[in-house]
Amino acid sequence: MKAPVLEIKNFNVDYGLGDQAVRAVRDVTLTLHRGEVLGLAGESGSGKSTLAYGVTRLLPPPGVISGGSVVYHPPGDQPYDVMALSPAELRKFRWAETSIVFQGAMNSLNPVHKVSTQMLDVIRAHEPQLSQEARVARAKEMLKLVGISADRMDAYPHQLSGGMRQRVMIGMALVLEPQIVIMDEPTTALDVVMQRQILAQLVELRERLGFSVLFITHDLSLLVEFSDRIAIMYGGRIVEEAKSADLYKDSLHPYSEGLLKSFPALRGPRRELSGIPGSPPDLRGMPTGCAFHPRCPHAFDRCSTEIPVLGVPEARNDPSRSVACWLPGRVPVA
Amino acid sequence: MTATEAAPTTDDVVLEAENLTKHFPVRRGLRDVFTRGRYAVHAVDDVHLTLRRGRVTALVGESGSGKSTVARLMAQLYKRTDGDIRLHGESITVNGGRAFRAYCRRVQMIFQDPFASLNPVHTVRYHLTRALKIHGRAGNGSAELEQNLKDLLLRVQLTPPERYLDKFPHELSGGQRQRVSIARALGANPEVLLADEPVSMLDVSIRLGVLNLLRDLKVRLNLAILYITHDIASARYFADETLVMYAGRMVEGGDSETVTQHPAHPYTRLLIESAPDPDRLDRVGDAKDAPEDEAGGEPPSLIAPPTGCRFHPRCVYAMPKCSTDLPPRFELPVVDSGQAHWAACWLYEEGAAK
Repeated sequence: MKAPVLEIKNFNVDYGLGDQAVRAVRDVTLTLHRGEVLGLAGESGSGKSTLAYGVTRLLPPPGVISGGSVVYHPPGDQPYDVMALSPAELRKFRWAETSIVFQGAMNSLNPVHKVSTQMLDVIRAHEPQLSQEARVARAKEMLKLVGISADRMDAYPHQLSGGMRQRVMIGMALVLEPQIVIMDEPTTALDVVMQRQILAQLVELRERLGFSVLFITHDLSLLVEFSDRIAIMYGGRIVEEAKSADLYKDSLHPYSEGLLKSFPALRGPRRELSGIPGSPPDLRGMPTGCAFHPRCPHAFDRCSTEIPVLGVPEARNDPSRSVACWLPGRVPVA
Repeated sequence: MTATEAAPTTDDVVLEAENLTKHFPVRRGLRDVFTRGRYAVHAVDDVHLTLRRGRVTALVGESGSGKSTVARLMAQLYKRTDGDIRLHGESITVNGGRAFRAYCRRVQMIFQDPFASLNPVHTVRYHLTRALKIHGRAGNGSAELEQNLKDLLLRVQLTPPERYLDKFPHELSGGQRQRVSIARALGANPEVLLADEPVSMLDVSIRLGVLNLLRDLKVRLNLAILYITHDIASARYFADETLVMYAGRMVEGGDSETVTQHPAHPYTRLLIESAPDPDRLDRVGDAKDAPEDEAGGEPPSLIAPPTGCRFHPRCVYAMPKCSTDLPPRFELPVVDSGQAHWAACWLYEEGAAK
């Protein structure tokens, strides 16, 4: 197995304080390895975006990180805990080590500034020793990498199409050559044709620059094709984690199974699909035991009383996968 | 599945559109006042559409291809620039008022975002009562109204209805909200439902529930449904017939299974190639995997659309003819289902039946 670059341990995020607090992320433990694409899938409200913002300490109030650690391993240096960084250290850490492409990234560009201004700003803030010429050269090179010709540098965001704006955002995220890129539904607003082009480009860039990607989406079929490993979140917890091929062919958690069966296939026989009955849980009143049990077709007594632990399932002796379910064969090995 | 049903007769046709065209004028700046040019966005050009009783017709296309404009034209929310809309063979143009209500009674629309289409300060009861009263189906007295309300909620599988009647929209989940808006549309007892991306705002795990509900309603109430979507896989799953739109024009149409399994138009092929497919062995980023697209996935400007076939700047098969002449519909040889299949592409000129 490859070396870890980001280790998230027992991570908890609350919204609000005291009795009113709603726990959006519960006890998440997740490791991102060097050079891999880790997919994080789940429905809206499952806590996937909250997890990403929490890990980078970008969570706006009333979000509070109520526990856990996030250990970052810089290449060839001592690992440190992101949660313990001082504001000044954090400012250095962000973007240079970890960058984010936000949801609806097309609208994250400042409409009143040229693309070049926004891009040079980033470089100036993080690498003030560089000369203006070097900065411009770097920005141009980055735009070329994401497939935008350098003469569009001086365009305003509204002069670019949605796909190009998205590319600019990806280019900006990569301009300081970070180790980790977090992408929060980066292609949801785009058409499928554009989506495929951007993802193909991202895969190519990753091979060239060697960063790791934490890719957040609700589109599981996209993840299966695109990522190395997939973690599935439900009700703030990770319920299953596996290599993407394993997850697709042999998912263990009933929720992952339901999610995979929620996508009509474009090829192969036309099947009757059912989706998952019921609706996602309300974080203010989570079901006892396993959060999925009210919607689970296989639920039994134990599911409604005890919270299943995430661990390597008994039936598959494979340390690369883990599942949180009480069903026979899926209980973690002791 | 309804794909195996006997070929529908013309009697089943409920709503028809012929040569449907919509141009939105572009506001002229000071600079343009002295020039002759009048600009317009060619949102929809020359669209033919037939909705039949008990059948789902899917309209697939990228954002900006004009598919929602078609739905709004069919719902008479926009005035058409040209063409004709016929309800049971009768040409209808509605300019609001009483005629519009009469039209609404028969043709109802479901919108994309159930968070926006329900009024947050009113309960489910209010929304449904209003729909029933406006369309004169509230019945006599409060007991009958109550019964009708419950029937509506039962139809969209919100059970028990008592639990949902007095809820506010924010107390419902996305799927439940969309069910309430479907119930509201059914309150008019329509013949046609125009569903504009009814599931794209919902969570993946509940999308199929709503689609299955719509299909169930189609069978039970014999509705004609226009299903607008950007997800061609769901069109294959849900619709009997699929039409593909590109830059305001229809490029291909036919039985859903045929269109998705044997796509003819280069644009439909590109669309299907690009859809995520977990079964694909080679992954994104492999050179052979990348669909061929010369213009980098950009749809053209609709203010000055390309001459000839609107897809020709992006098409890998483009011939000189494509940039000058607009391709008509060519009937394609039937592959297996016995349903008509056509494409507007010069590639099929020779093999066409006509």
